[in-house]
Amino acid sequence: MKRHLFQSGSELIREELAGLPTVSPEFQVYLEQLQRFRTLLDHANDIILLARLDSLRIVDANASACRQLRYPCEMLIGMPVENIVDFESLDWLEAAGEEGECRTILSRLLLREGAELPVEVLFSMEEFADTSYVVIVARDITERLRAEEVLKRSEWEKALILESTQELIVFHDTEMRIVWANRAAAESVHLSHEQLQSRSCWEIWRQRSSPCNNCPVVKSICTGLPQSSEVVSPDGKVWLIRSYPARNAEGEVEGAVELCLDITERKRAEEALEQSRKQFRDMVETISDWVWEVDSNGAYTYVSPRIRDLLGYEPAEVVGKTPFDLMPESERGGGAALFWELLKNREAFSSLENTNRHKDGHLVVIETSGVPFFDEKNNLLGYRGVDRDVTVRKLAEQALRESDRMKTEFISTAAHELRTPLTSILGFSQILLNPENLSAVEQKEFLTYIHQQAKTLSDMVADLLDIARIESGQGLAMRKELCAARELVTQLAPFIQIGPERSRFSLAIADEGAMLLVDKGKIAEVFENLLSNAIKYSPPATPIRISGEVTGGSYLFSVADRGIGMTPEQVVRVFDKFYRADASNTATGGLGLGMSIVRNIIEAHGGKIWVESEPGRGTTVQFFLPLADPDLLENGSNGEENPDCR
Amino acid sequence: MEAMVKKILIVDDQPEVSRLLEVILRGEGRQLLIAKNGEEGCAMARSVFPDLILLDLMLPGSIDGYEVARRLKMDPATAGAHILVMTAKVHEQNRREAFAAGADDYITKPFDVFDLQARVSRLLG
Repeated sequence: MKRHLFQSGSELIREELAGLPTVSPEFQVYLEQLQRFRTLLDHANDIILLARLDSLRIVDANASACRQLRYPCEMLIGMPVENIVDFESLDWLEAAGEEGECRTILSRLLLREGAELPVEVLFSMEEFADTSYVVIVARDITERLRAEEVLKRSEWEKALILESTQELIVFHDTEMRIVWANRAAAESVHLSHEQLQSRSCWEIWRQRSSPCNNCPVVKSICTGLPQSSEVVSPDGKVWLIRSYPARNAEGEVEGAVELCLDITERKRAEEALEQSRKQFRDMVETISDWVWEVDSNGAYTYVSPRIRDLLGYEPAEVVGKTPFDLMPESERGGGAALFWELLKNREAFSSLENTNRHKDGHLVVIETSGVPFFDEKNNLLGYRGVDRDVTVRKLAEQALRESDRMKTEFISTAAHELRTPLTSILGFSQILLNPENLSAVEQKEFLTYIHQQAKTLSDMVADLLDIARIESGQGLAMRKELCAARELVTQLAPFIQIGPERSRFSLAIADEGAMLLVDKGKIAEVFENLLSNAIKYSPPATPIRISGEVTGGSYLFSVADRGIGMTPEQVVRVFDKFYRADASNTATGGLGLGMSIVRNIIEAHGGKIWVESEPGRGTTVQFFLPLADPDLLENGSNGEENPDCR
Repeated sequence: MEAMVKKILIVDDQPEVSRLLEVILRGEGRQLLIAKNGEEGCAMARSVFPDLILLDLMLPGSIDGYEVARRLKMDPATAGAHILVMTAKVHEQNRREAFAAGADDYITKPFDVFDLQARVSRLLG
């Protein structure tokens, strides 16, 4: 069988030519041309098929056609075109044949194994030697389709992402014209994507004719840097606007991507949170207690400013320290041990009393309460609580205990003091019940004792009543009258002129006519107290000096002894109720009320009393009483002419 | 006859109480002596060797009744004297302390005259 000329390609042509005896030079040239065309045809990447139009059978195919359609050349030759070209394309082919047109369509070629090859195919009509041929040139577009598919997929994904977000995304060109906007952006103004395009954002969203001040988009285009700002729109919404410059492959800014997020709710929540924080902080920092937080190592992480008042520290000085750093050395170990024990057991605690050292060194008694706090996994993060200064309360408690102790001691003392006169009264009266062996003188003597001791008892009861009246807030019952200073001393005669100690007293009363408005009886009581104390607490025969003079608008009295004196601590407490400087020496009797009553009497007169004393040197008690108002003297007395009491 | 006289020393800072005791206890064959504080009481006890001492616990000066009792009981010269403590202190603790210091008897003020006389007579034998 004679092989077809095209079938074997250019090599075959050369072989065949070689087999011919002689060829005319013209034919030789023609054959060479043919060989060149054939070479070109076989080196083309496209599939090239030639078919007779009448039979639609393939009459020639190039090397690419054989390779890509996977048929040997001899199988292709004579094959009906429909075996390779699908029906739809055949219609085209026929149309091309009828109309003599040249058409390119996308189609598929059927391969030998039944597979298909996507192609771009060109049908054209050629006619030579009175025969019509169809030329089919097909190009494999598998790669192109795949690339297109990938691109489509990628475009779809991008669109999905950009359209799904709630953020408004707008791409502006450098002229601030909208190139593209996502659905959220379009919907925010109820416009379509298309309606947004090529317009300016300020005109659409703000009804302005120029960009807004400090527009981050304009700034990002100008600076080539990302920009952001918060903007409040006319409807009151708060927007976070971020703008990123978009650059091309050369790095030039081609526009800006603007992202707008509605943060109204977030801002509102932040503001509410801030408000709540502030409210909490205000409360924490206003209360008089000191509020704190420590971490699980016991170190302060928060300290309210109240610590300044409590311990003299600035909060920043204490943050990082532990509560034990603030305790005096002696309490530190115990405090820490207790805290670690509580922490181990995750226990809350309340009103734990502890001592802290103020920055200036003095000690402050503090009551601490706290609760542990945890993270969401229930790990203990630390404690939060309050510290309260209870120093004043502790002192008050101490004072109360002391007062209670003194009262108990007082009752015991009072009972004892009452027993002493009672001993004489009961003893002598019992003796007097059988007076047969007693002389009249003795009987009188014993009765005198009884009377004296009954008087002592009566005075004690009066003192008790006085103090009870003062205690209950009633004050002393005063009967004031105008009286000269002289008179107040004169009424001391039983003591200083007649009494057994009379030789010890010396008087130095100046301005003895000065007029005072006083309760004479009460002032006598004051002197009796002071003089009997002076006698009691000084050695026998040592002098006791009573003096008086006008100083300023007052009359100043003074009683001075050279007795045992008192320590400064005793002086401070000498006017306290139930206080007896010589409590250890119970032999010198007394209820411990005298000086307290004395001070009350002096103060009830508008005067003042004080004590100066030194152990071993003696004691001086001084008090002043205000001089009577001159008007009162005019109206109520004859002044100097009759200086005595009226 | 002189040896038969019983000497009673009263140690009390309150003159009216001393006088009361003197009246209650006076009698044939008794000699009463009075001291106004602890020091005086000790000194007199050492010079007159009393048979009985009526001792108040609360005394002015540097030594109280307990101390007087202790000192006199420690001193062989005066240890023989009976001590009757006579005080306004009524607590059991005071009583125990007084006996520990050497007291032979204890009576609280105010006291019954006959009771005191009976105790004194018993102590004097």
